[in-house]
Amino acid sequence: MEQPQQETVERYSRQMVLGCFGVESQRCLSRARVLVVGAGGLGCPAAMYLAGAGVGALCLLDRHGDCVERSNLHRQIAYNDAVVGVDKAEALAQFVRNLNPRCDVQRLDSKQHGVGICAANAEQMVQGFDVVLDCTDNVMSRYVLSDACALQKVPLVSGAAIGTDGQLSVYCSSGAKDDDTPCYRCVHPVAPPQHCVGSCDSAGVLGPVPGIIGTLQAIEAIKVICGASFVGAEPLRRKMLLFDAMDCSFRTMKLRARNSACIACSSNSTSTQNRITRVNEYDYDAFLMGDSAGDSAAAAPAIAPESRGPLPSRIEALEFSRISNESTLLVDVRPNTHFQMCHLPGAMNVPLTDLSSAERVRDIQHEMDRRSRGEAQSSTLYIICRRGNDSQKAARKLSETGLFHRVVDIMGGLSAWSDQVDPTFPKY
Amino acid sequence: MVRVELCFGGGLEALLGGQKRTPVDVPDECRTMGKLILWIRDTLISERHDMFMKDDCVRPGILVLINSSDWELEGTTQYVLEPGDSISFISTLHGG
Ligand SMILES: [Zn+2]
Repeated sequence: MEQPQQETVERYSRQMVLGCFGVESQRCLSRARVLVVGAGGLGCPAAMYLAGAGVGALCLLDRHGDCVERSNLHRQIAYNDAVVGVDKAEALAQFVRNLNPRCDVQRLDSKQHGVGICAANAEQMVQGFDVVLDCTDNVMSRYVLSDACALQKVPLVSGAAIGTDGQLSVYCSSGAKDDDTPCYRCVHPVAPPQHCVGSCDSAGVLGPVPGIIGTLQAIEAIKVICGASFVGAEPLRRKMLLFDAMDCSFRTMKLRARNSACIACSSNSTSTQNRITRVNEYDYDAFLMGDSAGDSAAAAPAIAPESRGPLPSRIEALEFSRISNESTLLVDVRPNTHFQMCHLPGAMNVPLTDLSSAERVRDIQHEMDRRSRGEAQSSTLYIICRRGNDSQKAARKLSETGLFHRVVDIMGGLSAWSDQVDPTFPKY
Repeated sequence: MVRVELCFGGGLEALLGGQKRTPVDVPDECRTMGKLILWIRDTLISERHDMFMKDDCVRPGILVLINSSDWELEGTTQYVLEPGDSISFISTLHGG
């Protein structure tokens, strides 16, 4: 067998000298084409380690025009203050090119603003890759990507993280006859109701948690790529890793096998009804709404039929700043952790979820009385939240109690306050 | 009565005041997984039941584990609890 070049030895010696890995695994990596979808908390470490390990081609795909924000920096470690505002996939591509100039790094682009992986482009995007990494942050992308990988027979290394929890698994059969790896849809045939889906943006995430999972995704990708030449290495197929940072527990659970009636990955195309033959022909919006259509309607603004109080109205942040004084009561309905981080002076914190408690509503009434010195009957109650959605729900709810003379919510919330009134107020 | 350990993860622990592991004594008439789920809803979860259930079963997006195995491998709602079993309900994560 031919000996590796000098630079190959110098760059990759520490993994090549590993008995289980060796020169042959390094060759596998150098020939591999890898697609990383999502350039966030998972995608950064995954792409960094894969470039460092010496994969031949590394393609990065994120939403076109999705730029690095300061609130990303605690976990998206390929970025720094100097690239805030730069397109994410571009910034990540630049970082990994510097890390390993021998790796052919490309950024794939949907050419459409705000669009990353989607039904229209997914199959085309994943075609010809040896492995795809799901580092995305939403339900739709996860189904689209898995369906595309199932149809194109590309293994999918899927990671997810939120709060202090992480999950990892390898989905989609490579097409080998005895490979019973399920696809994402085999394990999750029905999409979760929308109100049960959290995001790092609203629920928060401890920085190193996606770091752990993204790093593990790189390991799984290396194992998938190297196959038998990485002696003894077994990709996490038909298993799922559950990581809990709170007690530093790593649990591995056994997953079901591929479902022979799965509409995405079953090989028996004739017996399965509604089979997905083309990702771009499948209606993902309808699937995600599913039976949960009722739930999302409930979450959307709706006027209660038996509204007792007057209908709430809205006000611009700038206008509120002009009319408010020390007798004004502003109720901030964000979760308490958000309130502790930043709030407007004099605001009272009653989280939206607490508004179903009669006691908390009475607290608001008392505070209203105190500030207006008995003029509560003619005073206005103002409501604010982060971006102006929850404040609408809260205003409606408080209006319906019939206990308040007038309830007004602040359009665009604290984000608008920062834009229109006080640019030093943190936007997060 | 059969004593089992219940585990809630992936954020579902919020439904039990943040408690991730709970030892419970399940009445004999609730020894199947199908009945256990209803029993959990009625005795352990005091609010936001729709975060846990949908149409008499766990909602989509929750993985159910019986001693670290996907419950699909154990007969799902038909599984009969054994003393010492560990039953987990893990919400699937989507963030990145
Ligand atoms: Zn499938």
